[in-house]
Amino acid sequence: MNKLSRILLAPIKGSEEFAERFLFHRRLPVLLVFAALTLFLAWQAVQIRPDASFVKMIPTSHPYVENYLKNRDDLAGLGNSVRVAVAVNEGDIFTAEFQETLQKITDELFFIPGVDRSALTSIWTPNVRWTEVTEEGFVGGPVIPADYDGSAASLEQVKLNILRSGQVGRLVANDFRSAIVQVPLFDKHPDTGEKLDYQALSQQLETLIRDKYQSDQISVHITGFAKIVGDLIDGAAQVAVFFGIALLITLVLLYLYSRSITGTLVPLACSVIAVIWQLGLLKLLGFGLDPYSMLVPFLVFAIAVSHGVQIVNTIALESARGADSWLAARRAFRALYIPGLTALLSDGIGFVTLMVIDIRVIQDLAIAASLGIAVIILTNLFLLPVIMSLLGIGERATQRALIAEQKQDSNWHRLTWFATPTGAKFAVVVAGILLVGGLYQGQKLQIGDLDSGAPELRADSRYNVDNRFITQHYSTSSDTFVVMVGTEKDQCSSFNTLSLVDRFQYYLTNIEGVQSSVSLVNVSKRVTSGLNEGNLKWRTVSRNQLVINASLSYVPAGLMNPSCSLLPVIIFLDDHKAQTLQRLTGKIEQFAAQHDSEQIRFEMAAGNSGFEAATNEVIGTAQYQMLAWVYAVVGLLCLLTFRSVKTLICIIAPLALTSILCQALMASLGIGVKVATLPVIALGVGIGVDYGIYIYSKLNTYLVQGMALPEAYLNTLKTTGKSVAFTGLTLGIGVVLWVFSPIKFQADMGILLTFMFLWNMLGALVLIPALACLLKCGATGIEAISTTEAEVKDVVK
Amino acid sequence: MLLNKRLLLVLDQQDDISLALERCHLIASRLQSAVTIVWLGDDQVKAEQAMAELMTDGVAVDLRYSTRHKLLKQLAGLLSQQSFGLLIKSCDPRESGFMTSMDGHILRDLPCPVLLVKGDQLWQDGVVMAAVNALTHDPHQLQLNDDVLMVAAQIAVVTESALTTAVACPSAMMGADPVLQSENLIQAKAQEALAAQLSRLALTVQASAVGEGPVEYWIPEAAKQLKARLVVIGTRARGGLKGALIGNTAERILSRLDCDILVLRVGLSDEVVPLIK
Repeated sequence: MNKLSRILLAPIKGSEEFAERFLFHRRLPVLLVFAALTLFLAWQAVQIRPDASFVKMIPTSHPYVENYLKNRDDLAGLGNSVRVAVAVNEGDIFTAEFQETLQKITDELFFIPGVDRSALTSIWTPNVRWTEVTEEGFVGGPVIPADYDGSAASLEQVKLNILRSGQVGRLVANDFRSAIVQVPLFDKHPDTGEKLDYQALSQQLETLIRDKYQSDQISVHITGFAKIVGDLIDGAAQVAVFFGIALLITLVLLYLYSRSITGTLVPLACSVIAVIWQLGLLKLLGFGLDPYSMLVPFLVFAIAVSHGVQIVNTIALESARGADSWLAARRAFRALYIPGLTALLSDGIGFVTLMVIDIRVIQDLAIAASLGIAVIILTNLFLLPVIMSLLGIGERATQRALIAEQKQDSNWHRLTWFATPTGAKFAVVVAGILLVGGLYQGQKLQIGDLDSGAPELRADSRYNVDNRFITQHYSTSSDTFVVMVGTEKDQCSSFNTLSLVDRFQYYLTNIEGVQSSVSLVNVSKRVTSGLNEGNLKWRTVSRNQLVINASLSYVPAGLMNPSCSLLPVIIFLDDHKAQTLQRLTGKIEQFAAQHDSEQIRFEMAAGNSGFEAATNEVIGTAQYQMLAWVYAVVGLLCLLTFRSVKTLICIIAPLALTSILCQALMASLGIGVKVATLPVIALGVGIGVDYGIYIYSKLNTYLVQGMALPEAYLNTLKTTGKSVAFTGLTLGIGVVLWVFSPIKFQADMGILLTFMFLWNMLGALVLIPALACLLKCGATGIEAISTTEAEVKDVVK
Repeated sequence: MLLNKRLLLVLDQQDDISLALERCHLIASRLQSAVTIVWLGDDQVKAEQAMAELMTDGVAVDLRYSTRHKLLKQLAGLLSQQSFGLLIKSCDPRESGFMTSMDGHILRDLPCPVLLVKGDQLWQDGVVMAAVNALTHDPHQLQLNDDVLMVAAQIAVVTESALTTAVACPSAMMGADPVLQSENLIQAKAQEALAAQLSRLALTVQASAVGEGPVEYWIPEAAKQLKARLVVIGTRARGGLKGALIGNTAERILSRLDCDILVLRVGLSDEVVPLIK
């Protein structure tokens, strides 16, 4: 173990001398290089653009999504789409003004870039038709007749057509007071290949549609993934304001703590530089900023601040011992090099392991976070001491450090009770109780959305109000789940296929949570009945293949593919809650297992709920995979650094407790584990391990000198412990204000991060000495001393 | 090194030449070595004056002229033709911008020991301080330590001064090997290593200053504390890229010391060994 760790960690330890001499040899050129890099990367960072993508949110190698991507071309309009509902405030939609407005809106939407024009549907598009059976046979036509002129008679005709077209509840509200335009979007334009610009689209929807047409008589409601993302991106400005507030609070509190202007401004400046470098590097590598990764820059800032405060604190202590600014900075650099580097490496590599999760958004977040951490090594471990060596920490701070060190009776004394056997047992027992409570509560943690609408936004946000409007007034919810029924070529309309699909749809309607379903079968049934004078006895799938063929002579787009080998069954759900989806997929799998064969296969899934089901599944396993990887990496690095399993337990146990309690908190607050919230717990581990490594390293330096644990711990508290407590509190206070953010996603994250900052701090300060005491961690270094002494003797001989 | 070998004296016309000249005079007359003066500048009168001063005690003097630009090349040429025991120069660590100083170049590029003169006190009955790196494991460094100690001892004997040593210990580093985590332990280890080295070389010192580094801080501190008149130190003489990036400690110390500095390069052992009596 010793030899292995020595080999693996030799580069870290060996590099210190080189790094120290390089940085302090000629400080001005070093600063100039840093300044130049900062300017360059700042210029890059301001060019960074929001970069959202529908496909990035879904797990692309999940079988459901693979099936979807395989059949994507044949499934027009079932992927990414937006629905625009135009409503009248009084009366109904059968007025000339309304119809004119609807027509104009449809036309406006047609021309917006990114819209799949051929699949655009509204009562004003030619692909929406009515059919009727008369004595002469079938009669049909577009819902808006060719001779429409806005007169009362025309409007009557339209009303009739709508009733006959079956669009009530779909494109026309049940109460006839609004109509929908269904707008499918291209994630990537098929001709030009350019990605959909969500922010631009959202803007255009607002300016060209809502702002233009909304009035006293008419209201516009817009829903869809693209709109959520657009609103989130617009909310980014708000998010930034809250970051700014957190930054200011950190500034003020840091000054009050250190009473040193340089000791406040320099670490904060270096932390901000770290964020600038991170954003600049992301831009250079071709990434954009995802609305779900909006929090990563703040996280980088928070971790940078906690390291910066450690270094400034150590510089203050060295100054108190009489060193000038150059000497103090140099000694602090050397003293904190290994713990700082180890903590940051374990953070960085820990975040990289998030790449195992198959969702692009999370992989991008992993890259962004690891880049940020790597940059912190350069800005806060290297640049910060160099700047402080030139500026010094100031007289007042030095005096404070001196006084604090000489104070015999300090408040920290009380905490050393946890380093005594009684206190330690007490702490561990309490931790145990919390652990059990947390595990119990954490079982209630749900995967996926727990509420309807968009949980990233507030319940009273414009988007969610619009979403409720649409759900209330229409029969087809926005939650669609598509099962792709695959057959051999030209077999999609065979009797065997259709009758089985019919049975399938019947099976579906009996599943709780399913509102209705639509497929080729419905068309066939209705038209067959229509062909036979509307007789209800004929409203079935005919055994006669020729009758079936006749009934399918005109099929609306999206219900069949050109080679007749695929027929989608579109299922409308009450909601997209995790339970509903799980139930549904379970039942479909059962059916498929029973009925799949060479000729017919029931494959899942498309539609936004289909993707959600796939995502939920991936997240369910990913959640534990991710934690396992992060803890493995962090644990390994701690083990290599400290070369003791007992120390490993001391550092990891508080982290594990925090993770479990955080899950319990999420369950209590009704926050589900989704793509947006999944990485939070892993990020929390990254934040917390820094505290543990710093505290234990300092504790060890005293233990190695032979001090007893309580005394060693008191000294640790007076130095490193102070910084840890300060950082945890400050960041917690800065982040708790996010609760007031209009973006619910940010508010949720605020609560979770506050909890993690405070709890990690508490856990590190209380549990580490308690566990160290109980595990008798005194002897880590001592046997190693005798071996190194023997080595020295050998060499000198 | 010092006996029966020529001394090379570099005098810069623009600076105050008296210190270096005086020192050279003292050394040359004590050891009866020949001196070659390299005069930077073109004032023949002054140069010949200097030459005359040196020749007073029967010392053989040879005068050459040079300029700052050609100095290094000329010195290198001279050193390759004849073997010089010591290069004496007045200490001028001024750096022009980000470039290495002239002294730095001399320390890096020339193969002989260099004495940089800063003080005017006699070495006689004073204190000679040998700065060693007691905690190294590198064989070259260990050899250099030995050389430094031997040379310092020799000079102490010749000038009847007290021999002292100074060791700058690295400051405590959290998370490193346990011994390196505590100042006290590091210094205790350094003391032990130093004692072992001294006993191996059969030298006794009057005092040892073992303190917390970095080197650039502690060696000047120790020199002040011990009131050293001469500090003997080794250098790794890093040149090129490494020299540009991390530099040499010996060069860094030049500006912080106010006594004379004798710098030995890595690899001079074959010069020093024959002197051990």
